[in-house]
Amino acid sequence: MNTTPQDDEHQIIERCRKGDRDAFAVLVDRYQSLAYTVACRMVGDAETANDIAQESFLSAYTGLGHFRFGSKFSSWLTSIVLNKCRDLLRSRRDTVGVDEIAEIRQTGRRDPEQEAAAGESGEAVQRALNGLPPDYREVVILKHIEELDYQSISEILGVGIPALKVRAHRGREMLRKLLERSGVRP
Amino acid sequence: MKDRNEEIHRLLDGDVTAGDREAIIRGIQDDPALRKEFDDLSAAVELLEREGRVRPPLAFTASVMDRLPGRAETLPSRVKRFLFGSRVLRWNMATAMAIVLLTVVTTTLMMKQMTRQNQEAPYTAAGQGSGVETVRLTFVAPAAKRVAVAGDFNKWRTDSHLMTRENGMWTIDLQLKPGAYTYMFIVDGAHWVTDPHAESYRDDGFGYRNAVMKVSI
Repeated sequence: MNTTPQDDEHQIIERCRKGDRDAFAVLVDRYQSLAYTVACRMVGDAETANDIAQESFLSAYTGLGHFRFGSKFSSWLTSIVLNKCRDLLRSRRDTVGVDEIAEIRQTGRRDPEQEAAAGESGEAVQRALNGLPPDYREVVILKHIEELDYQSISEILGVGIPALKVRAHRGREMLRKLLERSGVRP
Repeated sequence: MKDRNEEIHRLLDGDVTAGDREAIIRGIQDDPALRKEFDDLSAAVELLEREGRVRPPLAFTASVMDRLPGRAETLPSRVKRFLFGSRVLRWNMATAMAIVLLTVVTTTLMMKQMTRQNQEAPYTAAGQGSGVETVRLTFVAPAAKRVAVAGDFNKWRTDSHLMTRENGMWTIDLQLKPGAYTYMFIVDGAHWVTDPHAESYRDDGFGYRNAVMKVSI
């Protein structure tokens, strides 16, 4: 009988539930890049992203009993990461003043030549992402960086597909404008 | 224009059939404003997709595993983990230097102690703790500069058991198993002298008399 990666993953999760820490290490190794990337692109700085991604795995470990075997572990993990990112962004919004938010949104206009040089490094892209509202940002990240289809994104975010398409549409429009404004010709 | 803009996003979402796709692209190409809109959006998405994933730190998995909450362990598994579990040793240069220094000092002291014990009782050390007695020999020779004792307990070596001087009196403590031992003093490395206060004496067959001491528990 052929086994699918999904079967293999379910076996690993079963072993984790029985307290097999080595099995959990397999999951961490397999999905660290996903968790770290989503966190990094959502919050915009590597150190915070590292904390969030690690905390997400710890939450997943302690909450494995609640994992439903109909869904993908990666989707469940991504929803944990995004919840933690939203909490952080909310707390930042509560502690950062309105002027500072405006400054982040504007992402500090620079000389176009300087910006073009930085653009290649991805700095400009990250600043443009930081300028998107979080609910647009998460859809754009899942759609265009994680390359997920709308069905998977809908499972992760618990939002209907039509609403997701609207967010992606608006997110892309804003991203283009932010990139243009910062001097990067998309 | 709004509908055409929607079509651009459908293209970017990959949400069109092959037939629709051709029709939409033709429509875009016929409209310069729409074409610019499509080119700009496609380029923005491409820029984002090119960035791709971010590589996590090298020790990411290890850090997560270190932070996992512990589980209730049974006593045997705790003992097994204590004995056979691998450990990460965190160190710094100051600690390493202190350990090296401590090791060198301890080794030196141990070697000195062993050397001293060998000098004192090279032939009796094996018997320590199993019926070995301490016997003190004394010899009065105020003018002597160096006095040693030799006997059958040290195979008549003249340099292994040097006596120590105090107020003209030369003394030495010997660790010996019970039995009878013959011995002589050697003064200044040349003169063999029989202990005048020995318990008894025995001829050595060369015209001298060896002193005899009896050791008993």
